[in-house]
Amino acid sequence: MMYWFLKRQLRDMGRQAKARPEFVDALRSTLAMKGYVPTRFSLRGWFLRHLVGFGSALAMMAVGTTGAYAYVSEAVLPDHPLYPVREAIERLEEHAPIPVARVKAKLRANVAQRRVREIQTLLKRHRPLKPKHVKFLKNHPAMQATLAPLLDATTTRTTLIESARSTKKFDLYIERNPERGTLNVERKKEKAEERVRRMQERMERRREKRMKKDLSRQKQTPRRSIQKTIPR
Amino acid sequence: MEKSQFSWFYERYVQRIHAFVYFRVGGNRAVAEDLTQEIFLKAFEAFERYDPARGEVAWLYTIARNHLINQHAKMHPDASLEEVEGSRLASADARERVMSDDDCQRLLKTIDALTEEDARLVRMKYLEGWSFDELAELFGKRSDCLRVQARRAIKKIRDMLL
Repeated sequence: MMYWFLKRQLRDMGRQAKARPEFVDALRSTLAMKGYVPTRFSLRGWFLRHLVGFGSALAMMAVGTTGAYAYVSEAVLPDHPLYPVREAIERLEEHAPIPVARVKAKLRANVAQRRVREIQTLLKRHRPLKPKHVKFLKNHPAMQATLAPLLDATTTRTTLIESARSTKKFDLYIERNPERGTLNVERKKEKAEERVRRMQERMERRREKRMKKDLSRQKQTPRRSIQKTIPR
Repeated sequence: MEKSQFSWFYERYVQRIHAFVYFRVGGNRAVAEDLTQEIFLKAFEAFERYDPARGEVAWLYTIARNHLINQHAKMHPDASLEEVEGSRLASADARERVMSDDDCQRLLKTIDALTEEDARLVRMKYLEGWSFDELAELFGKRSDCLRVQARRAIKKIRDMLL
């Protein structure tokens, strides 16, 4: 500590000994009268000298802005590319060595509130819940009660099934609600079959088109290689 | 060397030479500025004779040191060569007047109590702002050796101050 303090004190003293900028300029002009050629200011040189600084400043700004956006924005939901950033920040927040219990509790409460908001938005938009959210609801029965009206009013079957599947409870759900499960599975099967049929049709059409084109080309012009081989 | 290349030299060393002179004239800014100007004019005149193989720091430092010795010899014509060698242009009173801060005075006195080389190293490194690589050229030692030496010198100062 003392070592660092001494060095700092010496450097502070050294700072007092810095030449005044007016003196430096005056001496430069005195030297110029004797034939001294002052260095021209080069923007390129200056930029190159500060390139590393600029680069790191820009990178830090980009990282900071992205992190802040990911953390604050309500639009960052589990399917957003920045969601892992938010998760990382929350993890840091959770594991931060904060000695004051009150502050830590407040941070945790904030995270819980954010999670509830996420669940609300996901349910409103009929998007499937992630395992994390289902786990959260399971761990916080009080929150389940808060979200119950929303769950009843807006949750579609797909949302529930997707959520259950994502938490590896799909089979259990099908067992409990066989009708819903089979209905959904059948519909999905139909959709997939329709998609395959459409694709096959498209491929067939393309193939026909290509064959027609080839035939017309053969009729119009004979092949070059054949033309060349014909003796005159 | 061509005189057009002197600008690089000037921009790089003006602050350090000023600091070097400043502490040798007891913190008298006006005198330090006059002497710095004279040193740079001298260096500029002699720049055509400068040999890059010799080392730029050593060359400029030698000019600055010789100039200070000459000034001291002019002011004190009766002084012996040894006195002139370790010259300080300002008297102890002047130093005390300019560096009025007690801590600074105490620190400077402690630095003076070190061996000559250590004191020079600490002064040049921490007060005047020379880098270890430049000092290596000047002291004729490796920069990591100087780093260790500076650390030990600071340790000595700490022990003396405690």
